[in-house]
Amino acid sequence: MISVCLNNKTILVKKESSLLSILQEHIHLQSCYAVTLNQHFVPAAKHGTTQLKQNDVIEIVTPMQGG
Amino acid sequence: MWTLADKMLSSRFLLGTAHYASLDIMKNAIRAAKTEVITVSLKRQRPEKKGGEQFWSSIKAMNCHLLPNTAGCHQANEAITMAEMARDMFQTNWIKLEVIGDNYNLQPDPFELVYAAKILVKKGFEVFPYCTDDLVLCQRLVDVGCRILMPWAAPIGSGKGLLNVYAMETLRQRLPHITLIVDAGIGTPSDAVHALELGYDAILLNTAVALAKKPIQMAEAFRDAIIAGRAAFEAGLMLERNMASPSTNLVDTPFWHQEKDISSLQDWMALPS
Repeated sequence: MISVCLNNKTILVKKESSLLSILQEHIHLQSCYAVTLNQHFVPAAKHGTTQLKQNDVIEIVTPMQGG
Repeated sequence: MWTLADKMLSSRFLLGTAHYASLDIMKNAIRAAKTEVITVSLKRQRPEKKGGEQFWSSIKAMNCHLLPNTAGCHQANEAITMAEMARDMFQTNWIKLEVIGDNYNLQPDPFELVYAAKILVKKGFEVFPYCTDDLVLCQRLVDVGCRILMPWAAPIGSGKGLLNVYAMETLRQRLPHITLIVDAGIGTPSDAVHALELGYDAILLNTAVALAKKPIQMAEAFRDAIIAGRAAFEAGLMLERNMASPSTNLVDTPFWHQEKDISSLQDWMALPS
C-alpha cells in the first residue's frame, strides 16, 4: 500500500493504482470535474493510464459560482 | 448582432453567477438579463460529497456560453493550471484570466498577467484578461495575442463606476480593433450606459445585479441600459461645447422680443460714457 493525499486528506491505496481507479473509489464523480496531480493538470483522457506513487497529491475541482 | 471570439451574439451583457441568494434567483436574473455569456469558476471538491452538482445542472440548463475564470490565482503558473482544468471541465477554450497582485483592491498583477496570457494563447486558449486600464499593459496583452481585453472600471465589487474616464477613452482610441469589455466596478445602469457610449463593446458584471434588492429587476435595468448605451454610441453623440446654443431657431421669433432687444441695446448705447 502507498499513501497519497486526496483533496487534503491522506488515504492508503494499492501500489500501482491508476488515478482513475482512485477517483472512482473515493470521489463522487459527477459529469464535470478536473484533476491535478502534484499541481500538474492531468487531462481526463490520461486518468486511466496515470499510475500513482507514494506521497502523490491529488486535487479534484468542480464547478462553482464565479464572477 | 456582434462577434465575440468568433461567436455571433445579440447581447452585449455578460453576467456573473456569484453572490445570488439562491440558484433560482440566479437563473431568473440570467433569463431577465437575456445574457448569452455567463462566468463560472472552480473549487476543490469535498470527498464523498456532490459538490457543485446542483450548480452545474442549473448552469447547463441556461444554454449560455461559459466563460470560466481563474479567480484566486496570484501567480501565472497557478492561473495556467486552472485554465487547463477549466478547459477540460467546461469544454471551452475561453478563459477569463485573473492573476491578482494585491488583496486589498484585487488589482491584477500586470507582469504575471502578461506572462500567463502569452502561455495560454500559445496553448490555444481564447484569453479574456481581466486587466487595469493601463494603456501599455493593454498593448502588451495585445502583443502576446489577446484579441479581447477586459479592463476594470473600478475595483471588483466596489460599484464605484468609471473612475478614470480619460484612461478608458484612451484605450478605446488606441486599440480600435480590439474587443473591449468593461469588467469590474460597474455599480449602476448609468455606469454601463457611459461605458457603452465610450465605444466599449460589452459589459461584464456580477455584484451590481446579485446584491441588488431585486436582482431580477436590476438585471432587466442593466439589459436595457446596455442596449441604450450601444444605440447611443452607434447613433453618434453630439460634441460637448462650452457656449450655450438655443434649441429653438430664433429667426422667426415674434417681433416684440426683437423690439425689446433693440430698445435695450438703444438704452445701453444712450448711456453717458
